[in-house]
Amino acid sequence: MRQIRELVMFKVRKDKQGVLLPVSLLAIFCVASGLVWADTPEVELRIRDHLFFPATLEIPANQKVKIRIYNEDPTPEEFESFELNREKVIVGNSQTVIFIGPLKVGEYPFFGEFYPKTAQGVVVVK
Amino acid sequence: MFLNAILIVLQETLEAALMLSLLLAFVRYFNLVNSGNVVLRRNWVLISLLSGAIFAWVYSENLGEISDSFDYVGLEIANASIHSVSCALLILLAWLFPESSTDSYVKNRLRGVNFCMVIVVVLAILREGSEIMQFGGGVLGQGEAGLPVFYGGLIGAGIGVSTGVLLYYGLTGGLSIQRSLRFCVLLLALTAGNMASQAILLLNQADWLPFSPIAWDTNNLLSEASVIGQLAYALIGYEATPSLMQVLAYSIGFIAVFASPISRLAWLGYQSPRVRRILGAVE
Repeated sequence: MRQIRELVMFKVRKDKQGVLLPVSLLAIFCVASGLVWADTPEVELRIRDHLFFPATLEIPANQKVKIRIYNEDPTPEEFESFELNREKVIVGNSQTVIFIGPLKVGEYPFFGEFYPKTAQGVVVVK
Repeated sequence: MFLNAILIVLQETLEAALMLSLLLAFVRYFNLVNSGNVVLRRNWVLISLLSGAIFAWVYSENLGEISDSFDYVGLEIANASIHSVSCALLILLAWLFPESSTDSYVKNRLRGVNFCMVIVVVLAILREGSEIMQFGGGVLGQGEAGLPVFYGGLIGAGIGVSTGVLLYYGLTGGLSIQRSLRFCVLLLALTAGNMASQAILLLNQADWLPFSPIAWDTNNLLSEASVIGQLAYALIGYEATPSLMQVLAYSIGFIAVFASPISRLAWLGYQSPRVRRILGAVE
């Protein structure tokens, strides 16, 4: 009987330890990723009448950046850039998010694939 | 708008058409070598194309909701899943592909190969078709320039399908059957690598995977925006500036196909004298 109790106690203790480590790691990870996430700067880009506003996006070098794109046209558009390796359809009257970088200093043109004549822009990394 | 419609529809049609041609080249290869003992079917093509188009329409109709999910990166997640599944099925196809009709479980293997082909084609049509529908729906919904866009799209689709047909005959006609199989296996491996690399890129774009530095820059050698660059992108997923993680994923996809028995068959030749005899007759 005592043996069994000891065995159970041991198991419980072991379980507690087993749970503690992953939980604390998870907590650290959440906090850490929260900090990293909060650090990501966000820039806004609007699509109106098949034009990008602003047509020049300035972002800091060597840092991940979140571009929030608002498509104010009723028609879908596709954000595309060979230099940034990015491509994404944005349906009409909606918003979306694209992450880019960290990038080296330089200019990275992008365009709207559905209306490339007018929808042109550039990301300038400084 | 006319030229733009040609380009967009061409780009999207091309990828799906090339994929289908490659798979059909495998079908032809198997049926030729086994001369009708057990047949790899082809009747799934039309059904896959049609159901792919229906799925593409459903996907396109719900693109807004999909895009808004997962904190506005739902589209990347959905597309990355599509690419991953396609990659896995191409690898599975390579491993299931029977050496000859006398293989054990050959009927089950062929059923598996057919299943992989159907799903891969449906997913390709879904992926590319939904983009065409977005573009077409947007432009036509505006009520402007409907006809030029329609004709442009038709021409684009025509060129895309013709290129696919050209690839099919390039892979099957003129070459010895052994060489044809080598090209097919090589392309299959490159396609699987491409799918894996695209999935990584999309997860990167969604910030679900951490950044990895650019592996190399071959823009001076072959620009991604050029015609050949675009063709290479559609065929084997050429990118001028892939990230290290993409290169790694590409390699894994490539090797997973290349390590399969089918590439042993393509490069080391046939073990069974019966198959060799048939091949001798064909060549």
